[in-house]
Amino acid sequence: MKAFLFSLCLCLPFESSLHEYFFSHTDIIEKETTFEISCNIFIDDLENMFEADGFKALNLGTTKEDPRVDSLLNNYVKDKLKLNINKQEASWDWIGKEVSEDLMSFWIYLEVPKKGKTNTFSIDNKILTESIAQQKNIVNVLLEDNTKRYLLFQKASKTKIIK
Amino acid sequence: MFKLYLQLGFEHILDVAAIDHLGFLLVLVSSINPKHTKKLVGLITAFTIGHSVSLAAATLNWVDIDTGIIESLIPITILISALINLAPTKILPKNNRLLFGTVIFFGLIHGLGFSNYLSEAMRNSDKSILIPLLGFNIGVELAQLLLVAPIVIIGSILYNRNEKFNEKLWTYTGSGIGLIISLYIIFG
Repeated sequence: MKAFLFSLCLCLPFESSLHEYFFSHTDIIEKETTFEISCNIFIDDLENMFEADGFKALNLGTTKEDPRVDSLLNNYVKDKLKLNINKQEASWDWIGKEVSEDLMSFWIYLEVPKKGKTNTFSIDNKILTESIAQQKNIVNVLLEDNTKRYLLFQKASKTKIIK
Repeated sequence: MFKLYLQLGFEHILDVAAIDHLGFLLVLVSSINPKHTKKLVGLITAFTIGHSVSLAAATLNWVDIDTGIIESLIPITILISALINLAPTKILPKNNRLLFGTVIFFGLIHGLGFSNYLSEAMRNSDKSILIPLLGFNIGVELAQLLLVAPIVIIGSILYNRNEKFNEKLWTYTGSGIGLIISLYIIFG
């Protein structure tokens, strides 16, 4: 019995694919004149999603990266991450992106110019939730009046109202 | 922040992908005759202590064990426990210390699995560790309670209704399902 169990342990592949976790992280910080947004998304998940959309060999995050990638990403995030400030959908400027230290994810930087005082603020984040069932998007919001929120968006999540 | 991690812990255990956790609980609960409430509570507590300790230790970076090894060991803990229950001759440790020790040890392995998930969730938040850890752990325990309660209730109902409660059938059913789950994870 013991010998059987031991040999069974040895046969097992030590790389189970059962637990692969899918998280994205977004920080939104309100400053005097802008909202600073930084968004961390796994590169391989983005690559798969774009590929399913017909964009092959984009080589995300490599030296051979397709020149269309920044605008593709900007449009994608624009489509999936919705900020509504003072009852208006916010539009942002693309600041840039960089590859994370572990080379696994992108940091995408965006900036929303402020138009006066923030009276209402709501957010929706559907990044990858339509293409990956287990996708979870964590969003941290810090507003100027010190309102802090830690939010979780996943499949079927709705828009969350902060104020 | 507490609420976010509480939700993550809770949903992680109830997620289909965490069927390994349910499998282990099923084997653990069914290994005991429902009339031995004390022993049952003791074993579940031992498992909880085990996974809470290792979850904390790994999240606080006191230990660092390869993710792949842990993920492979988890179904093995279920498989071994189920096989011990299903063995034709009783090889369940008679010595309580050994039994509880084994359950705590298996708990430690499951906790390291939780920490893999938690560390992914916390990947980009370098600020606080304690609040996410606490929220996540409590979320895990609440979900565990939600899973264990119906199994225990079903066991007690069967036991109270039937004077000749078939302890073997109870153990074999629970452990059989656990065995299938572990084999599915390993080979599926």
